[in-house]
Amino acid sequence: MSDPLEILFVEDSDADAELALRVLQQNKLANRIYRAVDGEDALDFLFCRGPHASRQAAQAPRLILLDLKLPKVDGIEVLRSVKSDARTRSVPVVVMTSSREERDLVESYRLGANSYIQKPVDFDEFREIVKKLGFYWLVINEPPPRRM
Amino acid sequence: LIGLQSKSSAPLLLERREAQLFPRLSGLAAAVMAAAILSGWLLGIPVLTSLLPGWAGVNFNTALCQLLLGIALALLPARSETPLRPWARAAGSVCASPALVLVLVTLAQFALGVDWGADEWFVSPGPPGEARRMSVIVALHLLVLGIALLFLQSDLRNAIRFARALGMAEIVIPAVTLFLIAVNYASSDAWRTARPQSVALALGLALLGGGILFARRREPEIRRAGIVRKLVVGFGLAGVIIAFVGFTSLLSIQELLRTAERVRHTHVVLRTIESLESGMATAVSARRGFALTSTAGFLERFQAGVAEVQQAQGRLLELIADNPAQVAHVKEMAPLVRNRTELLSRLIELQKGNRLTFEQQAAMVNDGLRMDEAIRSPLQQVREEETRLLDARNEQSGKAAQRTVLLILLAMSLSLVCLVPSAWNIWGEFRARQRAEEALQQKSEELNQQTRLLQSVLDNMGDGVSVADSGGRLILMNRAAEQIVGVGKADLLPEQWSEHYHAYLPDGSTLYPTQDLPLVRAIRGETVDAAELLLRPPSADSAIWVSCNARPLKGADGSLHGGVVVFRDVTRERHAAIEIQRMNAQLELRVRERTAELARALEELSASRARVAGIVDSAMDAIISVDESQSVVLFNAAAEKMFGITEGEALGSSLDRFIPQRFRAAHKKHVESFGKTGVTSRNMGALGSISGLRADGEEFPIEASISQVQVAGQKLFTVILRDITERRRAEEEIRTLNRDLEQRVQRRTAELEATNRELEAFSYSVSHDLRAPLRHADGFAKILMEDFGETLPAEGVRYLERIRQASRHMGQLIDDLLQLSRIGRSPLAMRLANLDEIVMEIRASLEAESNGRKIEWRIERLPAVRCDAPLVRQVLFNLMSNAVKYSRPRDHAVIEVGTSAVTDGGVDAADAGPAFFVRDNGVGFDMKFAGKLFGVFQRLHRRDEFEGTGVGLATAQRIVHKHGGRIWAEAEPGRGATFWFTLGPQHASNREGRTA
Repeated sequence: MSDPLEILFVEDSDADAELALRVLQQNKLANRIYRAVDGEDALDFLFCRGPHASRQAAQAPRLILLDLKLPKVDGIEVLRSVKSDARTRSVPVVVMTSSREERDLVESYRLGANSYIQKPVDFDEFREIVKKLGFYWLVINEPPPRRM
Repeated sequence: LIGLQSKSSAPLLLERREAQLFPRLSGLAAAVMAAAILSGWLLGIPVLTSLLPGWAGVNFNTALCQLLLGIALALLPARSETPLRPWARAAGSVCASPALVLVLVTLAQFALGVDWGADEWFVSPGPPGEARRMSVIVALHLLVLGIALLFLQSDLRNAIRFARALGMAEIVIPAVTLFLIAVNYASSDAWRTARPQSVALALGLALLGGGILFARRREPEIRRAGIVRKLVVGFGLAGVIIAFVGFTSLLSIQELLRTAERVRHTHVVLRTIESLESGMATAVSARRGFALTSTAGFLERFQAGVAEVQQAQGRLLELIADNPAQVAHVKEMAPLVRNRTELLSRLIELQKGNRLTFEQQAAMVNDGLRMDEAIRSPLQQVREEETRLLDARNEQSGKAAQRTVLLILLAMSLSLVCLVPSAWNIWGEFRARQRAEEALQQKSEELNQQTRLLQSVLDNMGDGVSVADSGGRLILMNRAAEQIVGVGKADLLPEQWSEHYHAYLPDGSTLYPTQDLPLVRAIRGETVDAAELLLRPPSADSAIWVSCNARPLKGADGSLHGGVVVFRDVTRERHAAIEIQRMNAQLELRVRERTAELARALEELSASRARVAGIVDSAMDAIISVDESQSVVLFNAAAEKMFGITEGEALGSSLDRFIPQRFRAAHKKHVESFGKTGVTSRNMGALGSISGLRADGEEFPIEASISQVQVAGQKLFTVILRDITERRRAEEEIRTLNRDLEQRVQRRTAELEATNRELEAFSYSVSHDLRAPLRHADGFAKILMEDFGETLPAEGVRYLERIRQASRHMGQLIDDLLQLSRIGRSPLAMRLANLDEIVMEIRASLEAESNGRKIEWRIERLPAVRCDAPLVRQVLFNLMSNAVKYSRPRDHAVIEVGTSAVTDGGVDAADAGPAFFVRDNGVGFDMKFAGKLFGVFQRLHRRDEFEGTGVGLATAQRIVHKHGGRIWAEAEPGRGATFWFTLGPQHASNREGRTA
């Protein structure tokens, strides 16, 4: 892992993950990406615990794509941990979820989510969104300076 | 005028403490001096008796008098206002009296020419000439001082004044004496020897006189004395000194002149001696010349020389006639001179006759030389004596001149010393006066301001104010007073006031007696309150009533200065009072009339009483009347039935009989308190449920009202009772049922809430989980088309397209359902919404999607309504989009949106609020399916005909129901459809915060 990771992709559904990764790959945006299958895995990865204990904590990802409905530890909890820890607070978090519930939207932004995106059923729309998202956060957006 | 005095009265000048102390200090100083002199006498120390060595001493009796008088002076208080304390007065008299006696004895000695030896009464006589006797002058001085001190013992002003006048005289004489002594000292010693002078005596007398002069001053005098004394002492002293200097200088110059005269005299004497000597020399040399030459010329010279000698000798005798020693010398010399000239004459005679032998001549010449020697000796003595005198006189003159210069310098310095403090003090005094004047000016300015203020207050006050001085002269009448009285201030006697100001007694015809006029009484010192008098000035239309208060004006010491009267025009109040009296009379009349009417009414009432009795007996409710002692006076048939006793039994018995024991006390109190209220009737149940007691002891609930009426002075209470046993039972039943119902409602509500929560969880899952597989299906179908589309047959691609369509439809269904469920869950946010705007927005968005179809919109103006605007927007959107959708087959689609009174039967139009409709001329539907119309997923058309999920109308219905409104439709197949809805009653408070 010499190069810093670009995307931490937290998604329990393999199908969703595949669809999203396909779009990212097609657009050459998925060079360095780690997919966490649940919230616990995502937190372990971020804070170098458990199976990821050997990982270098210095390398926080440039972007976190976060599903809300996750097994074990749900997305809201992951978001809270990310935004309350000094090491990961500056990492942009994009919530990607099927939910259109207002309370999820409100809670995500309250905890410091940088974007909130509802996954559309229509794959064409989905593809467009993921593409724009990747371009925006990884290409257009200027990341915070890396101090670690 | 009315107590406007300046508040502070600070002294304008400082109190001069030294002026108060001076008499005591001088008295003490005189006493101490005298004591020293007396001790000198008693101890035999001569120096002490004169205090100044070289000057005359003071007589013992004089010093004794001075001591006594000094003590008497020191004992006096500083101020004339301070009365002399008895002991001080006694001590002063004890001191002054013996001194006076001693002085009088001394004077008597002189006057009678006898000698009682008064001067040796206390001490043995001193050395001769050393103040052995008290002189008459001194005795007179002491007499004056003693009398002055005796007068000062009195507290009377005039006595003190007289004593001070004596003191004034006394200070002048010793001062002059002192001055003369000083002059004497400065001038020649010729005066000193004339009479012995005592400085100590003069000083002591001056101290006593000065002390008396300043003793017992009044406070203002002390202040005035300050500056006067400074002027007198400072300038007077300076003047004396300057006069003294002038006088001394005159004396000194005279002395100098005298000395010069003496010097000149000495010179003349010396010159005369020289002349004598030169005459002698001339004679001798002429004789010698004649002897040698025998010329006659020498004889003449000889005669001239002899004449000169004789002349000089005569002159010398004249010149030194005042000096016997010199005269003796000259006289001693005279025969010698005569012998000498005779010898010379004889020689010349012998020479003429040539009878002179050489030896003879030589012997005679030798004799002549011896005689010359003899003459020279006294002459030399005279010369030496004159020279000595000259030197002495020169020296004396120089000393006198030197002393004069020193004296002048000293005097100048002294007068400077005297003048500078005086000038300084006068300057200070001047400044103090200036300050005092400024302060005075300021005070007077303040006073002026206050006076102006007072004047303005007086002028602007509504009450009249008049002030008269104690002599009964009007000195002030303010503007209001002149206005009320109508006549201004006039210089009149109080006797003329009533007539001049038209003041009458309240009867209106008698002039007000002068002695009773409020102002006159105030001047007498009385206080008058609310005295009324009547003014009838000819200028006024009617008489004026005036109410007066008068007060005496008193000074700080309580003395009467006059009086002030304050009065006001009370005519209107008087008239008002009369009016009130008149109205009272009217009122009384009307009360009488009313009373008569009432009496008539009462008669009618008693006539109707019979009718009432009939009603009472036929009433369904029990009617019981009690008197004030609560015994029954009326008991109707219904009461008989209710309580189970007859009227006969009930009448006269206590009401307690019908009340259970435990309520009796409360009931009695209740009736009493009701009696006090004066209210004619009230419901008794207001104080809690009450019960009745039947004759068989059974208690039963009753409803009662009580009324009271006053009949013939007695109060009657009438209670109307109704047995409410049955009603109580029914009420109890209703309450039980209600409680039951309440519980059921609560249970149901809880169940409903649980269901709601489940539903919420369910819909959340649906939202998240149901959509995911759809997305996957669509996603992978798309990928399949993308990746393998080319290898798939066209049919396969079409199927994939159908899969994707189905997925998207399913997604739409889920969204619609979620929306539907969300409506049920969240509370309404009611506000006043403008439906016009909402409709226009929807129309615009629908037109954008209608692909250029020709649609005619007929939109009426809609009222603003209170509703949850986003939800109502959803309703209108669903209805209007349906209208667009189902009118698609029409070439000319017409869609109407409007409002109208409710046409659907059974609903109260007013209660339902306005009804809104959306009408189209589309495909319509058969009204037999109308019941299915608003069901979820219910559709009346195939999806291939008209797309849709069958949720829109269900959503609309749910929103309308949530608002408390109704939605319904009217349609006909092929003729279009009209959807109506209402939003419930438009009462603002009705629907707020309602939840599902």
